Amino acid sequence: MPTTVSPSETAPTRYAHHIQAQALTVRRGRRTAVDGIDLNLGTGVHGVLGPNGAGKTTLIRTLATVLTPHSGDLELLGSALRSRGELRALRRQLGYLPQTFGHYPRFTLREFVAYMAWLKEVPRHRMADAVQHAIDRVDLTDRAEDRMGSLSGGMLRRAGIAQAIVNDPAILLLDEPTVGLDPAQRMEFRTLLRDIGEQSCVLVSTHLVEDVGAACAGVVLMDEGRTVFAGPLDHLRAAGSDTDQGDSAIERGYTALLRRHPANQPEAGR
Amino acid sequence: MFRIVRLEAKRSIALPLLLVLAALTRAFLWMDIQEWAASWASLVQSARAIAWVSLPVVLAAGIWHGGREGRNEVSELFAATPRPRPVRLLPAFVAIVGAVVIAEAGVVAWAATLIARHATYSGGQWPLGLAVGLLAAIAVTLLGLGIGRAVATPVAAPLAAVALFLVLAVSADERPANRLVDVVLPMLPKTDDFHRVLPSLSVSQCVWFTALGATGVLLTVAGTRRARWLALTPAVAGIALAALLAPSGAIVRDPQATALVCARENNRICVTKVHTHALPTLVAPAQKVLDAFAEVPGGPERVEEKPESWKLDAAAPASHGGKRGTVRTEFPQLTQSGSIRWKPDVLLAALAQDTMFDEACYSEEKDFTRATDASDAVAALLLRTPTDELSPGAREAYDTLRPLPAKERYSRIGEGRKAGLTCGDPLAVIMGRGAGR
Repeated sequence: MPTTVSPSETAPTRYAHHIQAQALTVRRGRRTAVDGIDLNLGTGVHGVLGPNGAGKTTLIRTLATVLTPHSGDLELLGSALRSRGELRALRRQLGYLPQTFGHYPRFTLREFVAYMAWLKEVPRHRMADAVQHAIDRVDLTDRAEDRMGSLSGGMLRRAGIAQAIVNDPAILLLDEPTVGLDPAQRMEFRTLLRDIGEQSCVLVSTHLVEDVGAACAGVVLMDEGRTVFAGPLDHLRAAGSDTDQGDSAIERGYTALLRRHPANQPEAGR
Repeated sequence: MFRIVRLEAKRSIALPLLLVLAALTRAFLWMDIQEWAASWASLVQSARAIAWVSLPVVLAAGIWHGGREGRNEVSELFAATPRPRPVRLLPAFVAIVGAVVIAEAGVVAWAATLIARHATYSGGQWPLGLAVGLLAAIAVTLLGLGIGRAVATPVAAPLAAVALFLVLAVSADERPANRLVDVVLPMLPKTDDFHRVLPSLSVSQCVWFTALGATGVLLTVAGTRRARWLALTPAVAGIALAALLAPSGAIVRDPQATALVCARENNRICVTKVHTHALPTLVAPAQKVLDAFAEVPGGPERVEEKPESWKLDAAAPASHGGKRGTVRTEFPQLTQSGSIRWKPDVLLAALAQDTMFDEACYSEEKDFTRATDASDAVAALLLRTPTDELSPGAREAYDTLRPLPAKERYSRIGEGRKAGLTCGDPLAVIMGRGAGR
């Protein structure tokens, strides 16, 4: 059966990076949660690391177009989001799993993913296949007809990932996606991320350094709303030394970079 | 869109709401069937009167659904999707409003099939009255959805339902005569088969409920506190406009409904047009009464239904007593098998009573009992109704009348009837003790 391809799908890419931010600042009330961040992220899996309160979730929510930046420039897929039309077109290509994944417990998994596909304006003729494919990819095929309310915590997280990828997003934003997954599921999840990252820009916010080590090509390390480090994973590994705390090279790099960040320097050194 | 509407119908509160609302509406209409089963105007009155039960349910369901996104913490997830909020909410709106419409309209359609077989006069306004009732239910549903989105707390639904129930229940019992009250309340002012609601009240209620529904929709799509305050504008404007349009006295007598229609075979027996279906049942007992009283001096020559209402018209015994040649009767309404019937023996007893005295004269129970005793004694004598259930007073009157010579007996019955229709003491006359009370 022939497949319809829209002009936008075959149009050449007109942007250098999927996510481009310059001096991006986001305020939450009186607090500056993201403070002048610069980002240039393209295809591949990128991890966002940082301690609690670093601004990871605020950054992800801003990139998901849920929050509006206070200042700075933000371009997603080459769009500066200046009009409702641009915003709507961009959201069709976004996948987002929030930290708190809300759902309708009375819906079955298939119904909920289909509902999300409808909200994401997946074309009707592609919807059934897209839903099935998303459910298959998170390995929940045999639970597709179960109510969302009956799924375990790990399954719900996978259901959340299924809804996030149902529209084959060009930018996939995942906030703490591996919470509740068992080790085997986490390994499968990393494989899935790498697979999606071949064609999309995947940004994963996590506390778990080993997830970043196993799945991400690049890392953004944040602290107190600012970028401490942004670059390839190898550079993060190389940043640490044997004297730094951590069980792995990534953890040692993580602690070393955070320690060197001005926000964490003693008062006299500032 | 249709697929999502179907999904919402299956998974939202729509289906339980449909079942509960249909069961509740049907149960309450059924309990009240003797009030409406023979007339369109009464159906409108009864269907609208159920609002005190149905609207709190509808409001609670709307609020509960309106708060669904907040309760399930999906707002963040949905906010990142391209589908605009009004479009996102539309399928659930269609499903829930559809459930309300199907439940209410379905039950009214059932009631209409019962009435269609009996009703002989519609007045042409009943569809408007029912439509306004349906519009009220839709408006309250939309308002509930809006409140639910604005106040996403689980206690909002039960609290609002109880509050609305109390307001409507108290209003139904102690309704002040006020045009604003007539417009705002979904229940109609008290009416009956002989009266009609002015169309201007229905029109003003249409304005009010449409505005209320618009406020509900605006509350639902409002994203800021300011927008939520602005959403109240249609309701405020609607109530002001509706109050201007509303008539000061919304219930008026319907001369077409109360026009008399007489039996083809006997033009001395007549009923109101709205009760024409009862005429065939009335002819035999009415004829029996006329025949039985034929020998009575000043006896009745006609039987007519009294085109006055105990609910709305003040009783006027003097005018009744002035036309002794006519028996003016009211139909006792009794139901059988879901439709209205007048049992011949009940009709005969009622006619005999109305022939002998005017009920409006006897507000004291003691006086009413004496008049009834006189009537029962005469009925047993002239109509050969059973004597074994006569009260001691009626038995004494019966025993007094029976041995009298025919001429004197009829004369005394005629005098007793005259006393009964002019607020005297018919029992005393029959017993030969004068007419004073």
